[in-house]
Amino acid sequence: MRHQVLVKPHWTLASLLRDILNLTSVKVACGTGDCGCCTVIANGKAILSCLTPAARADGMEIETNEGLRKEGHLHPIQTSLVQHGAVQCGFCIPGMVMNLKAYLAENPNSSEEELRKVLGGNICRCTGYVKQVEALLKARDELMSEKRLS
Amino acid sequence: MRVVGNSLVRVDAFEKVTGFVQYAGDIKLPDMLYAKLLRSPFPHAEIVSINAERAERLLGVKAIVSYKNAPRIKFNSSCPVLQTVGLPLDQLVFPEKARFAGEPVAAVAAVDIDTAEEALSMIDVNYKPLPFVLNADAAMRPDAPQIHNGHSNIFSEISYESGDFDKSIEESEHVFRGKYSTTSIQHCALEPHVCVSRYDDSGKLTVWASTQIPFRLRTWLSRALGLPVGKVRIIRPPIGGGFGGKEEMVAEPYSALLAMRTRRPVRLEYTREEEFTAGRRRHASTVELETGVDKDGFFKARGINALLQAGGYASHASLVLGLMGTVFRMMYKSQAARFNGKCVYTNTTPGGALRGYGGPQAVFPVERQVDEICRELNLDPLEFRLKNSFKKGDTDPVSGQIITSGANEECLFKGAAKVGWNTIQSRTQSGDIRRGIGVARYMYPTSAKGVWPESSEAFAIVNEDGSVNIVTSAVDMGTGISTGLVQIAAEELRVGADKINITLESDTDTNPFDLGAYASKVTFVAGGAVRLAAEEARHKLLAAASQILKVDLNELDTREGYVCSKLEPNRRISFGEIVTTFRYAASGSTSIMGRGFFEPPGNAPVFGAQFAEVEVDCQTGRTKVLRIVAALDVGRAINPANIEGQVHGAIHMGLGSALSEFLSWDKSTGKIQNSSFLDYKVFTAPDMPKIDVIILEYPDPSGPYGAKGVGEQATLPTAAAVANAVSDAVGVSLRELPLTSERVYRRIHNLPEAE
Repeated sequence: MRHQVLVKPHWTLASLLRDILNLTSVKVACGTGDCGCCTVIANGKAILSCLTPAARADGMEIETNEGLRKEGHLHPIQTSLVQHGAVQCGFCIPGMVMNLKAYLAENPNSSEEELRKVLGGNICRCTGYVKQVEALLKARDELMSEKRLS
Repeated sequence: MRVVGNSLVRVDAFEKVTGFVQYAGDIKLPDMLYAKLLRSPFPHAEIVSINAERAERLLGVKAIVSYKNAPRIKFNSSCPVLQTVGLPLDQLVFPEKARFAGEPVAAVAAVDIDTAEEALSMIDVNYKPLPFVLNADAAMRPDAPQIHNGHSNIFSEISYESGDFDKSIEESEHVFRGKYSTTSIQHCALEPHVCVSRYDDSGKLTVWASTQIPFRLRTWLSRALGLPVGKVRIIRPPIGGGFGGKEEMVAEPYSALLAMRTRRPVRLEYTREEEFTAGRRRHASTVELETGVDKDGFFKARGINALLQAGGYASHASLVLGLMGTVFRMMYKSQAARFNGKCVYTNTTPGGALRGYGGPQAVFPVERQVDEICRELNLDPLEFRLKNSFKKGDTDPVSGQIITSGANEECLFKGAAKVGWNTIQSRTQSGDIRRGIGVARYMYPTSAKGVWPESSEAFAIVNEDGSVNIVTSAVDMGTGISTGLVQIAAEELRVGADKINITLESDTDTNPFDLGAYASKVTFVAGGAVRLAAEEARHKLLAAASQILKVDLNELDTREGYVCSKLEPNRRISFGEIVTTFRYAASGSTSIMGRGFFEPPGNAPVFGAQFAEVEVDCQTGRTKVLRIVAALDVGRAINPANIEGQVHGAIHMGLGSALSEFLSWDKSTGKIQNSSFLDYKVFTAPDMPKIDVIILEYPDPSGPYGAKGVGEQATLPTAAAVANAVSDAVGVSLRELPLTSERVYRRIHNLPEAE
């Protein structure tokens, strides 16, 4: 979907997405780029929308969780997080999904260590990341077999 | 058991994983204003005058409130249950004197955040800075500045003794004395404190709040604002994490006041920095232990002097101190025990409820000292712990309560077997990289029963399609409790979990009463209410079916959404048909609804043990935790995956408190120095060790299906187990948290503590 929005110079991409476009899956939990809750995918790369000036998004393709929902079924990362009981309060999850979706698209063969490192960009206070790592390993395998089939 | 005991997928997982779930901060009402708080830059200062005229003239500013035009009704932000004595009412919405750096002194509502922030900079406040104190020891000195005028800085003292302590110490073969300290960690819920308030023309205030305690918030918000309880409605949307920080009235009075002033909805959301500086935190503690052991290795006397650094306001402190005493006492039996505790005002952010509520502050010193005793007397740390611990059937000498369940021995031995205790214990230590292993036990009650009355109410309403709506005000702050309650209802009604609908929000206008989510009690108390409600609904279905089918009640049973005859299974009627028949009867129509009200008879103590294996680099003092094994007795595992999730999260927080998390105040300004996730270090995914969870099930007679609490328990022993492991690795005793590299290095190399 194309949006044309007049933005103020100091607006962040996060506030543009949340406050103007009502894409509230994008969460802001620190506003300083430390927690990863605001992660969205911009032209295929995971970025922190709370640190990105809104004007920088001009002409970019920005993907949020709302975009995944429109495809009508859950992304394998989402399914796996649900099935592994890796979602508790849920506040960090949308950013985590976007971060790992972008990473796995480029690095489908990632090791557990690599996935942990990437997940290190998303702070979660509920889960100790245990079930999340399990879920991501499963999602990685799932994505690989999908790729092989197609 | 059909549904209870399964790791059912969480009922809220789908809408959370898609980002569809609406938290309080996602609510946007027409005409909504945005609020910001002006905060004191001084830790202790009189507010001589406030002039907001310039700010009021700024375009887009709709209201400014401060002590000059706000209600002056005292409250306690912990929102205590009214009958509870001992919590000082020492807070005002806006004080005339700031008692911590970051305390709100004025609030602005404007058309957007930018305007509100600009307005803050245009409010002129004339402060008269006063001398301040940051730690409890300094605040108790006779010349310390008085933080609440006319009151001692020591605002709460708790003492008790069982047996003759002094005599028992005198008669002890060995006496151990030591001073230990723990520090303040922050909740770090990803969703900050946030609320939206609306005041309508009928004089009704509605607040959408991220709160663990909707009904207690209603009581105290109405009080603080001088409104009748019935004119305040709290709606609690799904919460993005609580951990105790939202068992507190923090942001709500400001947004409510501004909504009342402007007659427009007002959203107030804390920033992360505000969470750190003006949210709540765990109370830092200093503890002196005096312990006597007899010649056979039994405790003869256990004494503790505890000091809590409470901050500028009392909040939960007195109850935290009380629970610290209970956990201390119930850890080990002893001929005599003595507890002396004090809560002290300091010019720091108020301490509050934080996962463990005094428990970690008790377990750390006790379990550190047990290891010191075992090392000194050459005793086996597992055996010593086991032979001195309370067991099922024992009586608490102070409260008289009998311990109704518990599996200390299994927790210790199954955990030890899993971690390989005996093999690791016999290793040799040399070189720069040393390995160590440690264990810590704990006890923690389920619910606040014994401190205040506990109860919850729930309804089970059967629908025309045979599904059942569970109406409860039980708060799921991310723990998975809603799923657990669905499982309990499905079990009781003998239907599939997919037939149960549950309210994922609380609404004080429409949901029955519940005291909130705290003290690891929701499964235990609200679960009890849901079970009774479902049971009553089932009885009503049976009675109704008996009339319709003309079959004797005793011959009937429920099965998969039907009431059927036990003798002729084909004689049956669906729940939906029963409801339709009765609801739309020509006369005598009625609903099929069960009501459950549950008051637990006791507080079902949970016992557990945790093992930590660590690696310490003697050249840097850096500790790496390699592994945690956690064993706990949960009574009954309603949803094992959710329990594992709770234990993992509790350990994550425990590891932070052990190694990396602490709030640090600047001695010259009194401000918190590390108020961001960059400077305050929570464990990230690569930092986490391997975790094994051993769930033991010894049902307690008071909980639903025997279930006890699991939300907080596993965070109590983690820091103690890690510290025991580090002490084991490097051969010196560590008595202070956190075990930063610098602290460990200094202890290894016998250097003095850093300033």
